[in-house]
Formats: sequence, structure tokens, C-alpha cells
Amino acid sequence: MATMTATGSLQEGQVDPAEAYRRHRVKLFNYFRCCGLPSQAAEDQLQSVFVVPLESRHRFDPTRGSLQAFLFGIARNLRLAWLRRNPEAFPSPGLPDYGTHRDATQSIAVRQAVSRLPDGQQEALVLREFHGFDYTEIGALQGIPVGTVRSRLFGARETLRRELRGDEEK
Amino acid sequence: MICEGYRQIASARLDGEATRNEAKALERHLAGCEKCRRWISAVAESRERLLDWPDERPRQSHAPTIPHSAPWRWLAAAAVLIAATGIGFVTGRASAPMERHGQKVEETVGRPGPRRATPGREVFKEERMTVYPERKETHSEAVLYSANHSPDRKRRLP
Repeated sequence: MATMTATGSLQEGQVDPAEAYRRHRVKLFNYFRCCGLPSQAAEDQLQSVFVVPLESRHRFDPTRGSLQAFLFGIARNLRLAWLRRNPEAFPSPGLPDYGTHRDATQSIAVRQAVSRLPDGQQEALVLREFHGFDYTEIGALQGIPVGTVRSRLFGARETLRRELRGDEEK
Repeated sequence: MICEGYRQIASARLDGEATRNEAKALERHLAGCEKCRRWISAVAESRERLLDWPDERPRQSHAPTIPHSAPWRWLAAAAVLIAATGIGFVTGRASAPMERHGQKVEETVGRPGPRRATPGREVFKEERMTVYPERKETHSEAVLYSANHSPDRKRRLP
């Protein structure tokens, strides 16, 4: 069983938190942001993702899934706990500074449409489209059957299509 | 199957999660359903816009560190507890009354010795005082004793 340690000395099977942070921090940060957390809250929760395995008896077991899935599982629990503590903050995430992005208006429209999705659909869509999780992994993370994942993704895509195109066609 | 069912299959096919039979059925349906073909192209377009979402980067570039990880704290606490228990056990054994053959032996007492080993330092001579348990008389012994010590010596028993 692999462990995540705070110290520099790593033994076989252990996960270096610095390396894990370097590889996964942008993905996890964007997961928090895409799922409705304001920027500062996303920063705080990102730190917590890597503190939880160090402080508690959580252990990463590679036979049960990838390190990414393990970290996203922690991130999901932290996100839901944050949303329970701050119900008024959802679903109104702060918009990022798009700077010189080529089509800021379009990106903001997409982000707002995603933020209005029901929580389960929103998370399933973010995990699938931005992080490449398959249906089985999403089901394991959300604690739902694969068929429900499929329905949620279909529902999310249907809503986005209508919102972004203004198309009510059935 | 109505169009919504085929669209759900189309959504799964976008993710590579539709079965071969589902994909074949979808192809047959799309061949005759213009609305579903438009639906698929619209979803593909909105998906492109979604994937165009720019990544944000967190400000903090270093992993959080904890000065002392929990396992080491627990190990240190356990070591201190074990050491304290061990010291307490040894101390307790040293101060407890000694036993020999199941009988209590009086603990060592000290008293000033007859001479001084070094000036200014009192030497105590250790002396072990053993207290033997009282021997209980048996009934026959008690009868014999009372007979021997009775005023009437004629009734002495063997």
C-alpha cells in the first residue's frame, strides 16, 4: 500500500506529495473552480487535498484506482463540505480574469451555463470533459451506477446545448 | 425507442462508452432522423466551446508541508507511553515487598553503620530481616500441649 509522506525520505511505494502537487494542482484547482468555488476557496481547498492524506490515516492504494482518482475523491469531499458551509455561494462562482483570451464572452457564457447545471450533472461533466475520467470512475467518485452517470452527462449536454444555442428544439 | 433514447446513446458514444450494438442501432436511426443528426452536431459544437475553457492556475506553487507528520507523532507518543510504563513497572517492583517461596520477606531497612567510609558521608549497613510465618499448631499438638501443661500430670498423654 502506497503512502503519502510529509518527509523527504521516500520508501518504495510511497507517493511524493511535492511531485503529486506539481502534477495535479492545476487540474484540481480547475475542478474546484469549474464546480463553483470562488478563487480563494479553491486555493484553500487545493491545499487541503494534500494535507488530508498527510494528517489522517488516509492511504493511497494503487490497486483501488489511480492517484488522480484518489486525489479527486478527497477534493470532492472537501468541495461538498465547503458548499455545505457556504450554501449562499453556490451557484455563483467568481469569473476568472480571462485577460487576452480570444473569446472571453463565449467562455463566460459557457462557464455560466455550466454553473447553472445541477450539482451532480455539473461534476460529472467536469470530470469527464476536463479530466478524462471514464464512466466507471465517475460512478465510483459520485457513488452512483454507471447508468446514472450516462444519464447525468446526457442531461448536462442537453442543457448546455439549449443554453448556448438558445435552441429549444426537441 | 424514441429520439431521446438515441441521443443518450449518442452522448455515450462521444465518450466511447456506447456498446457495439447501441452504436449500430444509433447509425440506423440517424440514417432516417434529421433532428437527431442536428442534435448531435449542436452538442458537438457546444462541447468544443466547453473544451475551449481556459485553465486557471493556482497562486501557490508549492505543496503544503506539515512539520511533523501524524504517524511520527503517534509513534513518538507511543514510545513515551511505553517508556513511562516500563519505568513505572521497574520502580514499582523495586519498592514492593520481596517475596520468596510465596512468603513475604521484610524489606531491607537501613541504619547507620559502625564506621564512615568517607568523611562527611554516612554509611548505612544494610540488614535483611526475615520474618518467618507463624507455624500453626495442628489439633493433635494442641491437645498434647494442653495435656502436658495441665495441673493434672497423671493424665499425660504419650
